[in-house]
Amino acid sequence: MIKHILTLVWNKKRNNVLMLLEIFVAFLILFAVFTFTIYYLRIYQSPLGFETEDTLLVNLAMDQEMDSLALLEMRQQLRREIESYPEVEAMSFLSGITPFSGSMWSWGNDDNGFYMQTAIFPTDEYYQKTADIELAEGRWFEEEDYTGTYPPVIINQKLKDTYYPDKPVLDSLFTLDGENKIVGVAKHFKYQDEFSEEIPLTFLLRPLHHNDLNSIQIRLLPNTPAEFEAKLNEGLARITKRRDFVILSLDARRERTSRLTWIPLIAGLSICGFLILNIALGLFGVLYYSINKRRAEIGLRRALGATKGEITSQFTLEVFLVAFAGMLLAAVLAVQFPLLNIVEIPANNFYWSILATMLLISLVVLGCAVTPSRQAAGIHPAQALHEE
Amino acid sequence: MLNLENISKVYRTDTIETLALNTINMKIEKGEFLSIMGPSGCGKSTLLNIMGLIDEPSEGRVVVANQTVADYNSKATARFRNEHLGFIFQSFHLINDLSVLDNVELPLLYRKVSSKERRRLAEEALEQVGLHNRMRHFPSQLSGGQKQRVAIARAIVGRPEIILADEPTGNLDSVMGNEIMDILLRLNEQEGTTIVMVTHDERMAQRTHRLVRLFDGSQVQ
Amino acid sequence: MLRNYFKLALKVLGRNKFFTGISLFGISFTLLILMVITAFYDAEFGKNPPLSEKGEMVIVNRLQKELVRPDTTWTIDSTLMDGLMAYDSTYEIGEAVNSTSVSNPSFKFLDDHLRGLDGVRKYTFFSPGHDFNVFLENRKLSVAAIYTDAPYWEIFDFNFITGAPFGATHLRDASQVAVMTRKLAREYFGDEEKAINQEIEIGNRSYRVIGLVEKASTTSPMVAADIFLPVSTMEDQDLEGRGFLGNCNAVYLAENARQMPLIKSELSSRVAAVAMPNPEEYNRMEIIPVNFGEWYASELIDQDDPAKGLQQIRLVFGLLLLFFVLLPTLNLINMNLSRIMEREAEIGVRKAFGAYSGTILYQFVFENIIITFIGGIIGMILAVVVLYLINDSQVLPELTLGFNLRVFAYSILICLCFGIVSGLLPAWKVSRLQIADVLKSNQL
Repeated sequence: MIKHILTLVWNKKRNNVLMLLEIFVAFLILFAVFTFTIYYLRIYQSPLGFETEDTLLVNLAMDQEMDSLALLEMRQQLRREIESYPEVEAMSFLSGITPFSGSMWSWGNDDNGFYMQTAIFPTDEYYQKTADIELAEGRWFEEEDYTGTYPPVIINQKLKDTYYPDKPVLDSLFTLDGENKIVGVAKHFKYQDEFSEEIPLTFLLRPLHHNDLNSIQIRLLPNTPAEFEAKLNEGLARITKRRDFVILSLDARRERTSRLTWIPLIAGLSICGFLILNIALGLFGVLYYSINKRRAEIGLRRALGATKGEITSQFTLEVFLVAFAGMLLAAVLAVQFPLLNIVEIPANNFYWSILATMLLISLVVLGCAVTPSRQAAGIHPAQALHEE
Repeated sequence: MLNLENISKVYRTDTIETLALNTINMKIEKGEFLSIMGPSGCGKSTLLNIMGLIDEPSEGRVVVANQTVADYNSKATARFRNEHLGFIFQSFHLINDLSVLDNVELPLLYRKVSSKERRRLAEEALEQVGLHNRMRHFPSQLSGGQKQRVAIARAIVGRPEIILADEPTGNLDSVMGNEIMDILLRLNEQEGTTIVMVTHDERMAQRTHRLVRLFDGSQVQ
Repeated sequence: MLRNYFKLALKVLGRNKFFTGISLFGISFTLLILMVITAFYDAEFGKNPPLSEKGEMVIVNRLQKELVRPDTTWTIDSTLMDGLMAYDSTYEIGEAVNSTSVSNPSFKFLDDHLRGLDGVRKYTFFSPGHDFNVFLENRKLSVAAIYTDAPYWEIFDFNFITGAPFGATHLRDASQVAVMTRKLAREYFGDEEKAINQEIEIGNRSYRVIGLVEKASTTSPMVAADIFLPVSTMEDQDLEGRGFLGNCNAVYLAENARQMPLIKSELSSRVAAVAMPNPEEYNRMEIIPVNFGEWYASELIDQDDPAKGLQQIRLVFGLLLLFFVLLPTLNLINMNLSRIMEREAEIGVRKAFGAYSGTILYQFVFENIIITFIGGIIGMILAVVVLYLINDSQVLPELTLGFNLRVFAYSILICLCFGIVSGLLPAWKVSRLQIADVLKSNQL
C-alpha cells in the first residue's frame, strides 16, 4: 500500500511541490525558534547559585584619582556605616562586575599546561553570607587569607568539571594571577543573567584598598520597608560626597535582564503559533478542496472494494508522505547546524528541536488531513461515479 | 448467483421524488451474459449499481451467494465487492496519475497480495486485453479503446465471478466497440465469467445471451 | 472594466466563505506582524526627533587603552555587554598579548584632543548614564540624567513642549538650569503645567526647569533620559578628571554623508597620536568611531568591527523576515491555486468568448490585491490595537510605538507586494489553461 501511495505522490509531484516547500520552510522556522526556546529554557532551569531576594546593589561613582589609602578609609567608613543599620544582614564590596550587570571580565592563559579561560568575580570575605552561596567543598574566604602565602581563589563547580574533572582541586595551586590556592568550590554561580549558560568562574579576594571595588551588595532582613533606601542614600552621600550613584533592587534587575530574553522568546513563539495556525487552516482548506476534487477516484476505489478506513488512511498517508518528505529535506539541512558547529549552542538542543518540530508538524498535518479524508471516504460510490 | 427481489429505488430532493426503479425482480445465473437496455434515465445504471452493491435500494433485497446484503457500508460488503465483482464504466474511470499497470493493480491493493504477485496478475490481465506493451504508459497517452481495455483488465485482474459493465462501448466508435465486445464475449465463454452489461446499442445487446429492457424504472421484457 | 473586476472580486470572495476566511486570517495576521515590526523598526531606526539627523552622525563612545607586549603570554579580556545577545567571542589569543581597558572617553580627553575637525557641521560632548535616586515623600524616583553642552540641542532635535534649551551663556556660567521630560515633570511636580521655573533637587544641587520635552522614543542612551543638565555643572572629578577614560560621548554631525569616513579616519588618527602618560600600564590607544547603525549593532552583539556587526545583524534579521513572509505567501499561493482551479470552467468560458491570457492574469491578480487590501485593513486595525497594547503594557518601556504616516505607507507597500506575489503564480498558471481541457475535464 505504501508503495502505491508513494507512486501516486511521486506521479503528482507537480501538485505536491508547493505543499512540500511550505512544510520545508515551516520546519526551518519552527526549528530555529524551538532550538533557541529549548536552549534558553534549559539554561533558565539551571540554578543561579545565589540569592537575589531582599538585596540591594549600589554602584558608587568613585573618584578615579583617589589613592589607595583614601579609598581604604572611605570603604572602612562605608562598611561601618552600613553595618550599623539594624536592617542590614550582610554586605560585600564588589567590582563593577555585579550580578546581572551585563559586565563580565575574563582571563585566559595556558600556564597550567592547557588553555584555560575563566570569568573573574572580585569580592570580599563576606560575600558568601551576602549572596547566600552554597559551597560544594572547601570554605569561603577568611580574613587571614589576605596575609596568606598564596592569594586564595574560589572556583565554581563548572570550572572544576571543565578543567579538572577527576582531580581533587582543594588546596591545590593553579596559575591565574600569579600562583593561586583554591580554597573552595561553589556549587553554582550564574551571575550574568538567568538565560546565560554558567561559565567557568573564579572568585578573587580583593583587599579594601583596591581601586575597582566600586559596588556594594547589601542583604537586608526580610520585609525591610522601602524608606530604608532613603536612609541608605543619605548615609552613602555623606561619606562619598557624591550623589550620582544608584541604589537598585537585585530582584528587579534580575527580572529586567531576564525580560530581554523573555520578550524575543515569547514574540518568536507567538509568531510561530500564528504561523502554525495559518498553515493548519491553509492546509485544511487546500486538502478539503483537493480531496473533494478526487471524488470520482474515491468512488472508484470504493467500487473496487476499498473500505472507508482504507480510503481515509490512504489519503491521510498521501498528505503525510508529502509533508514527511518536506520535513526530511529540512531536517537534513537542520542537522548541519550542530554538525558544522555554525552556532555555539550545545548539539543536543538542535536534536531535541528537530524532534519537537517533526512531532508538531506531523500532528498538524495529520490533524488537517484526517477530517477531509474521512469526509471524502463517506462519499457514496454510485453518486461519485456519476456526477460529471 | 445474484438475485434481486422487489427492488425499488426512490431519489428524493427537497421538492421532487423520483422513482428510478419500481419493484424489479431479477435472477442472474452463473455464466450468463446479460444485457440491460432502455432509454436514457430509465434506471439502467441505478440497477447496475445496486447489483454492484455500490448503491442501496430503497426497498427490496439483494441476495448474493445465498446471503442477503445487509449493510452496504460495511467492511464485509467492501471485501465482497473486491473479491467477487468487477466494474467497467462508460467513461473508463482510470486514475490519470497512475500508470496503466498501477491502474490495473488497483483492486489487488485492497487484498492481501504481495507486490510481486500483483504485478504478475496485472501483466497477465493486460496481456489478455492485448495491452502488455503499454504497461508503462499513462491513461492520457491512450486512445479511448485502449483506455477501455485497461479498464477491462482492471475489472478481471481479481478474477471476479461477475463483471458489471456500464455502457462499456458508449464512448467508442463501432470498430473499437466491437473489439471491446469481443473481449467481453471471450471472457464469458472461456473463463465462464458472468457479465451484466448496460447498453443502448441494439447490435451489442443482440450478441449477449439474454436481454432485459427497462422503461421508466420497470422491467418490460 | 475595473469596476467590473471589483464587483466580481467581491462576489467571488463571498461565494467561498471558508476559503475567504482562511485567506483573510492569514493575510491580516501576517500584515499585522509586519506592521508591528515596521513600527518597531521606525521607532528605533526611523529618522524621528530627536534623532532626525542620525544619518550624518559620527559617534565616539568607546576609547580603548591597550598594552601590547609581545613576550608575555596571558590575555585579559574585559568585555562590557549591554545587549541581549550575550555571547562572548573573546577567546582569541593573539601573538601579541595585550591587556585592554575599554570605556567611554573622559570629558577632558574630548576637550583636549577631539575639537575642531574638518567637515563637521556641529558637534557635541555630553555625558549620559547618570542615575540619581530622588526621594519624594517616601517615593523613590530613579532619574536618568544626561549632562550636555549647548550644541547638543541643535544636533538632537527634541520637541519642546514649553520653554527652551540651555545655551552657551548657561554653559559658561554653569547655571543650574534643566530641561526635563514631560513624564518626569508629571512624576516630580504632579502637574506638568507648573514645572517651568520650578526647582528640582538633583544630586546635592538645585536646578531650575527651563524647558519641557517629550521623552525620546528610542533605546539610544544618547537621548533616552529624564532630565538634561548643563555639562559644566557635572561633578568636578568628572569634568576635570585627567584620566583618558571617563563617562562622556561625542557626536559629530557631518556636513554631508560623504564626509563621514573622513571624519572617522581623522578621529582615529588623532587618538592614535596622543602620547600615553604611563606606557608600562598601557602603551597604545584607539577609538572606533561609528555611525548610528554601527553603534546600534555594537550594542546588540559583541563584534570588534562595528561595521561587520551591522552587516551580520542585517543578514540575520533579513533572513528571518524573509522566511517569515515566505511561509504565509506560500500558504496563500497554495490556497489561491485551489481557489482558482475551482473556477476552471469560468476561465474556459471566458477564454472561449475571446478573453486572452493577459486579461485573465490581470483579473486574478487584481482580485488577489483586493482581498489582500481587505486583509490589510483588518491587519491595520489589529495593528493599532496591538501597538496600543504593547505601549500600554510597558513591555518596551523605552519605546512608544506609533502608527504614523510612514508606517502606514510601508504597510500599503507591503500589502501591494504581498497581493501581487501571492496572486501572480496561480494567475499565471490558470491563464495558461487550454480551453478544450478545461471545458471537457471530465476525467479523474
